[in-house]
Amino acid sequence: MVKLKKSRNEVFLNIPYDKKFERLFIAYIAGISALGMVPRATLEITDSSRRLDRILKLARSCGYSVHDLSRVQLDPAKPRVPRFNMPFELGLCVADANRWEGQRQNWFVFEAVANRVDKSLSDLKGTDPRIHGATVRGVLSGLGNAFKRPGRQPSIPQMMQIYRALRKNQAAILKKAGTDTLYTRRVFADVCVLASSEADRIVED
Amino acid sequence: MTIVLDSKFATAEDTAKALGVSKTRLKWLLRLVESGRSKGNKAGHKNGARNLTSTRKRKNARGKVKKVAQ
Repeated sequence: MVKLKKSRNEVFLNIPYDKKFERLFIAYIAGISALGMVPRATLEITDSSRRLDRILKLARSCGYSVHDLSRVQLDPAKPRVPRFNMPFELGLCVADANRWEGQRQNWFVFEAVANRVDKSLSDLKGTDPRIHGATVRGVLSGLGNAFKRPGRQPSIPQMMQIYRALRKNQAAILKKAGTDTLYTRRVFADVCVLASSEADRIVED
Repeated sequence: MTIVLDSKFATAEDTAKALGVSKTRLKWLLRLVESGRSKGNKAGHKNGARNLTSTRKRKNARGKVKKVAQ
């Protein structure tokens, strides 16, 4: 097997794609961009053929991954099932990270409620998840603790400034894309570019 | 655990390249964020209604014609 070259500037974002999560979705993009990195997500994968291979390839190409396991409830729409995508993709990333000898841990788990992951995914015992409390500030704070960029470390108010700029321009981006959801490839890319532009301006040396 | 980043800080151009955003869209996005930063064109609005630039120019032109006539 050929080992893919990882981009140390890209973060694989593994989150639930639902309406209630939109605020936190924007917060993750704002936080990752504020740290000078590029968010990547399975939203970029539109082709349904060999989807799993492409997810794995995308995750492998990223230097780091962030997994939000806060959506453990049953989906209110029928059929009422929990979403297994996030823990499944976390499993893929953990297995892949452990596969390469000497590979350091490059994945982070985020949760809304403290100690809940001990029950929902007890195999992760010994790994401290970042608890965001389902708040934007919690997500930004968690990312700020997970990553450090000496010389250009963004503060939480700076991250919030980027978050607010994204929220402000969200309607214009959706209108241009002709959609009402953030969870499309085009909208995701546009929001990320906007976030990087703001981050580069706001977070100074 | 905290990761210390030593990679290059990603710019809008870097992100656009990584995510396959075209140059045209990148320019539009940069203009969008720039326009959102400024206070906005207040002269273009009157009582909440938006005045077209062409309308303003026409009205200004009319005023000049009147002044010349006097």
